[in-house]
Amino acid sequence: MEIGTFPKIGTGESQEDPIRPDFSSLDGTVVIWEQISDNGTDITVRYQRSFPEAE
Amino acid sequence: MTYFPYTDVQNTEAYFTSLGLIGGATGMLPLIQANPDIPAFDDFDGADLTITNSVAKSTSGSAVVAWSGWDLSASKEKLLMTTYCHPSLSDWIGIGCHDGTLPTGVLEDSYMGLLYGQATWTALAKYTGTAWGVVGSDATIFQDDVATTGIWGIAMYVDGSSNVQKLFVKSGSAQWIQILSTSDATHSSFQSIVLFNRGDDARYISPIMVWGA
Repeated sequence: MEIGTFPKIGTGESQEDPIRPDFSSLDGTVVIWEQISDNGTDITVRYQRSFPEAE
Repeated sequence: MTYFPYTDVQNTEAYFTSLGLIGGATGMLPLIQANPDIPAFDDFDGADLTITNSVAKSTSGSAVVAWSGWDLSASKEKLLMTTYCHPSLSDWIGIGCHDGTLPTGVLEDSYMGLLYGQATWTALAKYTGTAWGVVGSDATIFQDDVATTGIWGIAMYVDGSSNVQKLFVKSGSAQWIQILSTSDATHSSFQSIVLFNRGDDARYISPIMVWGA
């Protein structure tokens, strides 16, 4: 698992748009993540990515 | 040859005792033991769950943000909550705990362990006030295409004194497995238990168990 800090996205106004970390700066897809801490604006998480197979 | 049948493989209490979350010196005592029959809920919002012995089924066949729950007799810092469920078409279904006694309307401050079919996650989530957030998710085990084909166990452990939240699932005849462990510091004590779902014929199935301290 990697560890990183990411800004929050999401309005939190519904289950369709939860407040969560913004992983858009990462390559690949984050498939598992767990919050370690939250400072109000950023969330530090453990995460695991998957990458599409090379063609 | 002597065989030693592994009788604990299906035993929820033995599994969580083996992890040190209940039993021994944990101080965790049974608070709700809905087995085999599910007792009447203290309150609900959105859509009620109709109880027929061991099953509590959503009265809504369409999507509606809903919870049914029980108040605890006193505030608890640590809780282990387990239930079985059939998500059906409900976009999310799970179990959680609310800071205060049951609210009169929509849920507020609380933690939830969820099968989040809409996003193909299992998730640990929370309300902070009325703001909905996710504190951890796993997209590698529960997918929307299995929501209607099986009964799933879901369990959540919270320790508000040390900021620990853990999510477990159980599928088919397999043992419970831990999926997520997070360290959120938003909520520290809890006074009620909620079964949180999005209608759509969702079912909860006993045993539904809660231990606390």
